[in-house]
Amino acid sequence: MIRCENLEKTYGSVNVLSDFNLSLPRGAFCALVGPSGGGKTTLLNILGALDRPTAGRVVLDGTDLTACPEKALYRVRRDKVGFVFQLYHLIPALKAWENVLVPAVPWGSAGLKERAGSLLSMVGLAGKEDRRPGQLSGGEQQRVAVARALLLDPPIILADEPTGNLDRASGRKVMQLLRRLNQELGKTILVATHDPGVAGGCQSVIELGQ
Amino acid sequence: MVRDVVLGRRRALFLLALKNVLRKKAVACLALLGVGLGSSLIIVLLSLSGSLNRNLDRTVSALAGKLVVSPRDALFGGIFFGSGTPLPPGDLATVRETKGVRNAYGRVSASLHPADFPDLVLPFTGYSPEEIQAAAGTPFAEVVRGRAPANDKEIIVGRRLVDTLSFLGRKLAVGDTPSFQLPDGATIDLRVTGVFQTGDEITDTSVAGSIGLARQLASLPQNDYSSLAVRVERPDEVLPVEQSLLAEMAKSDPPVQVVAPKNLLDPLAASTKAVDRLLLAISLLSALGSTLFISIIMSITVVERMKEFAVLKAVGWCGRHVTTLVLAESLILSLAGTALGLALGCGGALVLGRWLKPGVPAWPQLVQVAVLAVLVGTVGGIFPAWRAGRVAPALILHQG
Ligand SMILES: Nc1ncnc2c1ncn2[C@@H]1O[C@H](COP(=O)(O)OP(=O)(O)OP(=O)(O)O)[C@@H](O)[C@H]1O
Ligand SMILES: [Mg+2]
Repeated sequence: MIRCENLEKTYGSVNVLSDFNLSLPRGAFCALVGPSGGGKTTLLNILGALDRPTAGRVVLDGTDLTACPEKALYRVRRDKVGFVFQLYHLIPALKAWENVLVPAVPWGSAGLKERAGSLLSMVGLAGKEDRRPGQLSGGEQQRVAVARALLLDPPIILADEPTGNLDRASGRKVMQLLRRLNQELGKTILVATHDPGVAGGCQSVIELGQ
Repeated sequence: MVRDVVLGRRRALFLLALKNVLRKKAVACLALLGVGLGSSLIIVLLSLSGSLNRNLDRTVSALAGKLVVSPRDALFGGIFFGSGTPLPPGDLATVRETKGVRNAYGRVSASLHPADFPDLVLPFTGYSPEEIQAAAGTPFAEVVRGRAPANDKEIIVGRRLVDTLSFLGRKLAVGDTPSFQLPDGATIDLRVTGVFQTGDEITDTSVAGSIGLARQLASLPQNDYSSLAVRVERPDEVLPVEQSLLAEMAKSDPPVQVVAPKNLLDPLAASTKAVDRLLLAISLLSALGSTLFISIIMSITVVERMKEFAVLKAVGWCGRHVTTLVLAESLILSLAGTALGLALGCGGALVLGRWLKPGVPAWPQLVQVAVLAVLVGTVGGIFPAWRAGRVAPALILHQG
């Protein structure tokens, strides 16, 4: 499902990733750990088609990202990947359900309203659909972000320290949710984290940046 | 694009744009005011220039095919205040016999001085009974309120003069009998029996009455005239008839001049065009100002929201979608601002209209302004929208 070959990423003279290889099968649930500055976010950005590697190949669900022209990358982001960020990055002015619909807005989101509602109840936010991000706790906001990542039903979920800003209990809830997505929906999930507890709950662990 | 919006494909995008605009109320108000003031200025200017042109057009067409024969010492070719040496009745006969002349009438011009305000000079023209009988287009035939004068003690006042006087705080209404000073110092009471409107702005700024009254006011001998109004057979014959009149009357005493009032207006038409161009230039500058204003405001908000755009890209939007979103926001702001400007501008035009008679701008002008608004929004939004669409998602997300 996710394959990297001889991946390399340098910022100026700083070599963040070099000769990095990875192969994750469909349905994997994998943690990405390593010291701060080790390149976790960098790797996730490359896998999520937000950034390009300096060298090497990335194949995502059969699509070779490195061969993909810049203008077509948005389709990969839309169809293949759901992103969850440490800081949630919801749009403050929009209600929870509107935030969930955001990925579909350019293509007309009217028909997806019900799906947004059912995703919100799936992440445990039934009854809070009309709240704005400011009226939700961090953990709840992160679960809205997870629902947003699921809207267009991508096979892959990339989460960059999804529990980094949450207390232990909320963090555990978010991880339980990710595990369910993995087990019940068969999503391939890669979670970058500093938390050994979070890493321990995953099927496999990849270490970056020794 | 419009079909997409109506059918809902782009509706979500525009709804989101609308929500974004409403999100920052202070910024939206600022943009609204900026564009609103700019476009209201444009509307007021357009309506002024429109009325200027309308008045001129009306006057020019009312004067087409007319000539005035007057003593050479009369001011302004004798078409404003008849003055100068009076013309003997023989001149009228000569003019009538000239080829190409359909008809000619003697007129007497004078000035009216209100007894309570002798420094005010109101131009007065006395029309002969023949002209009143025969000719359409004289004040007597164009009374819009009240009735035409029936004797030497009655007058009618031009619509334009009534407006001007009322602006000066001097009401002159049908039924009034104001007193006027005669040249010998005595006063005479004249009854206002009506208001006329010929469409020719010059005539409409004067008072009309019988030729007898005019002779009394100007102390002119019986049978003498201060000018002769000439109508030619065909409007395009004005020039040749002018030439033949000059030839026929070369030896007459006092020496005369022949003037086509329309030609006198040519410099006025030219200056109106110049004013028009000036107003247009100011309008364009104002539109440019609005465009810059929108552009600056949108740029500021775009810089503030770079992270948001990066997130939109991360969840699957492409650069074009982000660009469209920002353009839509800019368009919404400029359209709303223009709507405000239309309200302000039409209000302003109405207020100004109490003095200048510009009226509300006509439909084509409002359409022009609306098109301008779309242009302002689009052009002003292009650069910020382009920048928003180009944001690199990874770069922004790295920074927090
Ligand atoms: N845009 C950039 N320009 C230059 N250097 C960068 C840029 N983005 C990241 N880096 C560098 O790349 C290295 C890896 O950064 P990255 O954010 O991937 O680390 P990380 O493992 O996610 O760290 P953390 O655990 O703190 O989130 C860091 O040394 C960082 O300074
Ligand atoms: Mg990181």
